[in-house]
Amino acid sequence: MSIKTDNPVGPLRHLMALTVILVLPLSILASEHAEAQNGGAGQGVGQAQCRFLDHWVQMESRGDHMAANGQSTAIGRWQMTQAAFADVGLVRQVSAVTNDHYGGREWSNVEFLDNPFGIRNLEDLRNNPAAQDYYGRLYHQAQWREAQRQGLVRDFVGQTVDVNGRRVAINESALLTCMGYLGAGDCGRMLRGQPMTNPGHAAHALWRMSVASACDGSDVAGQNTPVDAEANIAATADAQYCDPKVLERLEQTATVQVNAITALAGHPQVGYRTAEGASPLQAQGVDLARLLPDFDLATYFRDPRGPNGGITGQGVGPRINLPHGGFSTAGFRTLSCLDALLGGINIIFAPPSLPNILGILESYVCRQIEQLYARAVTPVNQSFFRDFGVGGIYVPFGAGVYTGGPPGVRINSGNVMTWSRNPIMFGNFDMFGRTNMSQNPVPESSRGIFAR
Amino acid sequence: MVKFASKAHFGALLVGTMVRVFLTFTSLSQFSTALAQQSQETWRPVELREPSAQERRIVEQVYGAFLRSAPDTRIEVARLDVNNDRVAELVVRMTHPRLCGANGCHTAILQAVVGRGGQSWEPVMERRSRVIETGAAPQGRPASLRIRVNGREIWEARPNGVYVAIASSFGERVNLRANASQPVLREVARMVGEDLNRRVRPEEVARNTFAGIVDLGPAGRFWIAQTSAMGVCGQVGCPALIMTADEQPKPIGRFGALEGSIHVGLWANGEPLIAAGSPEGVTLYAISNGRLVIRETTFASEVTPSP
Repeated sequence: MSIKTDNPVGPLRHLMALTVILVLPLSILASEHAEAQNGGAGQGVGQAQCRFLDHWVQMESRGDHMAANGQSTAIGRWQMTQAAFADVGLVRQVSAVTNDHYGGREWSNVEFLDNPFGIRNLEDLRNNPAAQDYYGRLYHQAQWREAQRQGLVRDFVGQTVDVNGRRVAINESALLTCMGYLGAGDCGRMLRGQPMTNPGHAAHALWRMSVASACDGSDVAGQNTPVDAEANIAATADAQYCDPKVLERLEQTATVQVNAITALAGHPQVGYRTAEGASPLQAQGVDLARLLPDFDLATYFRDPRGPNGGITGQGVGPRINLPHGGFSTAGFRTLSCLDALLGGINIIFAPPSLPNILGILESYVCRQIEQLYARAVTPVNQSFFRDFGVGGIYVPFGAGVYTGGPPGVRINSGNVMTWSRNPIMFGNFDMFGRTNMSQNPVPESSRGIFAR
Repeated sequence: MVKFASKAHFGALLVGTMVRVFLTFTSLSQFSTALAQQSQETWRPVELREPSAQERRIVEQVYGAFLRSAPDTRIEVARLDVNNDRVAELVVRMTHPRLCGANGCHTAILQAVVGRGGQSWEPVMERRSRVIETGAAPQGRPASLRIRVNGREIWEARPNGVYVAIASSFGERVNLRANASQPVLREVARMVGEDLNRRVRPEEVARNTFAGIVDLGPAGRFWIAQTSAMGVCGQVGCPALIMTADEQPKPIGRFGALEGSIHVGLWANGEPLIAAGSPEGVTLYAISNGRLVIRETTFASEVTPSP
């Protein structure tokens, strides 16, 4: 199929259209993210919008004081175990725990000690959220003091630790989570890079710490050190259950996005053109019909809601599913596996803050993609004003195009995307029309747009 | 020809061997009793078959990266509504040298998930298996079926649908009791001291330490002591110490487990194992050259990578 040119668009509109393409997915995400932020975990440096204690309760039980874990003695809003209640002086274990004591059924193996709430048995405790809050706060305060005594606060708060190649910035909230999840021993060992009792817990501990690092720990620690929670989450998300799929999806969507934007930027109808009217791609002799075989400009910019499908720049054509199909919806839909991923830990409930976590991660990756866009388009901007001779070598996209595929996206490396300096590649073709993709193949699903 | 220094030496060896055989037999009996109890439940094998084109696409969606790197992977599937929501999940087994081991080959239950971008499939359980069976969920648990892997290990679904292995399916629970002996408490205090980075006296851990002796057949008899003293526990569990069952116990390793979730059993080759439950699943230990070593976990994490 050839490119339809019966719907010319002026240069100004080209720029506006391109802007819409660039901005729309980001604005959609931004609004989604802003919505997700309401009442939830904060993001970024210095923007903590949650308190550690609230966050812990929400993560553990959604605030349900009757919650009980069927596979341990954890109960209540804070999911404190018998051991934790013993630590804070509410109970004394007189015999060992068995699975009869799981699930909040009965605690015949403990004695309840005198307490200001008059709690005499498990039922009393489960029915008393105020007491749970009191002992929950006490428990985390005790853990903070232990962290101080061990020097963990001094050595690690405000620092970035590298655990198995995952770099996580530690603040008070993250450290409290580490202590609460792993216990004093393995928390200290993990942070100090010493062998853990069970190294299998490290990945999830880091993930939980990262999520918690978005919160303000001053409600326990009396101080709060802002860290980049989004970077923390992104650095540890790959350790999770659905890591391969998430990364693969990130690669695919990023590839689609960046390639599409780059291609459109060079398209004679919607992208930059030389004074002679040739697009950078045409200047390179690229066969646009082959590059964008199904591209229909009218469809692409038609607003399906408008009269006669007028060109508004708001509509997104189905054939190039750039903003909606590519990134803002399908792209990170697989992050719903975060639900499963978070369910893989000791919480037995789907965490209520999931949208917020998604928002944080989306926002982080979104910003990285935005940078990719900028890098993809900046050379075009520069070349637009560059004088070049007819027939000369024109290198419009010096930075190349993200080509996806392993090693591809590594969101924990600091360099979010692997940016190829190779010639631009569009699906199966590089910008010179060559089809050798063996060096750095685009994921199968990413080829659809340009290689149908 | 083996020569013995004396008849007494020979006699001692003979008695020692008989004792070990007896202990092994006893251990096996205990574990086989547990297995027999399991087998009284009704377990139905999941019959795997060749996938349809649509089912293959689902598997490719989830494991595309691996399958592209190993296109000769054999895929078998079954449809099964494990969570009683009238939507069949997809059980898939992938056979490839990189995905198979002594436990069998990579097996997963994939569940359709409807998200913001439409439907996709996510694994709710992943484990290597030779045989996979289903059984009814126990009362008071989520309505999802239980899954039994290789005739032994049982996985139960959490309310969110994710399956976790149950430590009790790997053997018998270790009975721990209060009033541990002073030598045991001394070692436990040393372990807690390491965790807290300070000197800890046995009296400080006495009240919150529970211990018991386990007979691990050919590997010997051992103390297992677990403590919840002084804030050393986390949500993943409390530290436990395994020591020789001598008058002066010598630690051979430590591990962490949820309280009440330490079990002993046997590997398929008859070697004793220790199963320690945590919220993420079960960690399986063996005793090798007199030391406790992690052999395997059921965690879906870096310890047990998925394709």
